[in-house]
Amino acid sequence: MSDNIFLLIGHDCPLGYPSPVVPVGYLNNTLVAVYASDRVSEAPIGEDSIFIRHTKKLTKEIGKFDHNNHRLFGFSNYKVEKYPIDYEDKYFKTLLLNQNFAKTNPFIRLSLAKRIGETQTLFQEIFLCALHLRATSPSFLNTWYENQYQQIYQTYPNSVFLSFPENWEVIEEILIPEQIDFIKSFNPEFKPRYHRSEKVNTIPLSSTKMENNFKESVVDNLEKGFEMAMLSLGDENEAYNILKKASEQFLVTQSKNLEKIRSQEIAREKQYYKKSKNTFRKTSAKRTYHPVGANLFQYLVKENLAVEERKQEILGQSLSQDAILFRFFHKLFENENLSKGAFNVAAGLFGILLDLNPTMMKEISAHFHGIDSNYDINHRDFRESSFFLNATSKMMHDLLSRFESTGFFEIVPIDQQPPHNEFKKQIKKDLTEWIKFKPADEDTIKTVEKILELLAPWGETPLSPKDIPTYNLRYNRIPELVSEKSQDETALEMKRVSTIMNLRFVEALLANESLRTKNMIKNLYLPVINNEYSFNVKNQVKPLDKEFVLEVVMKALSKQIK
Amino acid sequence: MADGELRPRLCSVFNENLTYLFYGGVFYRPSNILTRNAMECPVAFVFTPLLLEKIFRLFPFDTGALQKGLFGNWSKHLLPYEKFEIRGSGDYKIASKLVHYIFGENELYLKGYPRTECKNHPDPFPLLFDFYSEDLTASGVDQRQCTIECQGNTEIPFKGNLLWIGFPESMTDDFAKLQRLMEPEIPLFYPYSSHAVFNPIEIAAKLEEVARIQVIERFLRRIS
Repeated sequence: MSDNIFLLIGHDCPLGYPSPVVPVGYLNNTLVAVYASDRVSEAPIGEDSIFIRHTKKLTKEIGKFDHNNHRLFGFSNYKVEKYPIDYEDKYFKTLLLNQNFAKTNPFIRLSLAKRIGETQTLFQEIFLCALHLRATSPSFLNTWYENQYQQIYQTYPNSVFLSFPENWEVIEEILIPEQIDFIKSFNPEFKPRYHRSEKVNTIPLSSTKMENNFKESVVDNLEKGFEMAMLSLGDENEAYNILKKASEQFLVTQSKNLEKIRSQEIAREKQYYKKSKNTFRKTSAKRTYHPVGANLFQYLVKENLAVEERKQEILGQSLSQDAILFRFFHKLFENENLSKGAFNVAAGLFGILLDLNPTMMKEISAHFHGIDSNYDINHRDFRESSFFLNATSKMMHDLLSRFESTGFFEIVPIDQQPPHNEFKKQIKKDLTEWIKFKPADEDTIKTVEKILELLAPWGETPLSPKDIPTYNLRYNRIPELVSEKSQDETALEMKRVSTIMNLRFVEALLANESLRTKNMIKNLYLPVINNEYSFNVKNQVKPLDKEFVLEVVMKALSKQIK
Repeated sequence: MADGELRPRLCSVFNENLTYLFYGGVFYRPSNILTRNAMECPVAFVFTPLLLEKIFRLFPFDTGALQKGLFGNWSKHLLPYEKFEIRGSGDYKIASKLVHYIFGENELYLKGYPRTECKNHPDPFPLLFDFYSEDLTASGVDQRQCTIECQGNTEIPFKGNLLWIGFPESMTDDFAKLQRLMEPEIPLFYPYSSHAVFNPIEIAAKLEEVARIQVIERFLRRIS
């Protein structure tokens, strides 16, 4: 950087218009190009260098140019604008608001959006680039998006990154309605998966009465809801971990200090609950809610009545599940800008979470009394969306580990968790379409039938190996896995076989060309089979053979790559 | 690039049609003039080492830099450069052998640290050792002081050869076109920020770093 006066005489445009351009001028009688750096970096150039010399008119239009504090953006040889470096993001925002700006090169728009670093702008520009590539280089699209995803992961803070789906198609679902018209200006055929007109059953909820009156609502502002949910999860209180550790030690040491910390924690739980409840009361008249969320909240309300009674019980535990849920809901409710859609999203996510964890559901039901019979998850719209699968998996990942740490819940092996009906249907469909079933002999067929019966209660049409013509089952690892003499060998073997079959699902589903299915598997199954949810909680099943899991997954992935 | 290959172009130094590559890393060769042509923004390619079979001539330094006098007083010692010429002969191991005899291992080659044993080898190795060992950065000499230049005289198809490419993000569309010519291959790629025009030397340093992490590291095992 130099304090000397810089005389701007022209510019060079190495990237093609419209784009940022390099100011060229004299500094201390030397012709220099001014590159961007931390601020600026001047590089002497030869007098015979080729660049665009500014006309008098353009010089006048640009006005006084301070090379230390200004940059240039070029639209043509004769149209160049200066902007202050400190306000670069604002200048870029203005440019991006113009739908016609860089219409033919969405990647320059994306570059500017990355400089701005706002979630919604990035969503929009990445999506436009994805549309462009889908039209021009479809085979490159997924790789490009993965690259962008990695870049965003490395560059931006959690709040931005967590909002980004791993699959570009999901962005389509997150775009807020106001952007649809904008995108249509680029791609007239664009149809978002969610329209304003699509409706979801919601429920106006009273914090004091248990009766629910169903009322229709509009799903809007999905992105905000998603982000809210993610941000809430990301709000990891450092004290929480300290307290958790402290409370674990508490039982052993009975330290007075730790006791004090523990009581502070209980006070905080109460505070969270009260805030949630009060905020809810203030806002409940204005909003309608998803039934799952509504029921969940009612459960929380009821639970509070027993808080005092359970005080001793909680004292013996680390952070209770109530506190976790209260925190989450408190965060949702205290946000004045929270929309109905945002709440619906969060509530839907919780519904899925509960549904996918029957043990937890059972626990909750035990406190629900009469309400559990009304628990009817009716959110197909949510389930059909990979956006929600993605979001749910993230939540599952985080929440299940938290729930597990409370000691209230037991995380069970996946083969003990019957998938939700819709989920099952999807798996069945995928299996039917993609698994090649080729039984070696009658014994194998019988074994396979047992396995399928064990792990796939499909409903009206159970899968049979005879239904699917070709499939290679690999049992050669089973004898190695079944080595526990102290257990019931048959039961254990079947359990292990069923676990292996789950892996076969992963393999089969990964072979599915549907990006949505792949995304689902990646987000839902892989964390499970990687033992992140603790397969061996109850010591009934040994930890899964990770090597084998990896072998299967990698094999499946390699097929994808090929 | 539009044809999916690098083509030899007339080199004023050798008065031949040549393609210039450097062995083992991304080494930037700045132009001394500005340009309006986006294709001349820093774009870095990393090709498979198997391409070395097509290299017909190697030099233990950048002949272009030498010709331009960028090596200062060393020019008089290094010229005529013919005495440093090594014939490729279709052997892809020649460059790695050169690294072995001068630097000992790839890591030291990339850092530009010759090993002292190099002085005991026949001429012109001792001279090269002295050249590599001298710190010329004060004279504005960049890392091309310690690079192995590889010259080819045939087309280099991207398909089957290109491992990595770094380019300005605003040129993604151009890269997508190149990728179409390479289908089903998709090389590793690094689109660098183009919200402003950064100093090419800074960009080159970044490209060198990213290329090393993303692709070159895997080739850096010890030779011996």
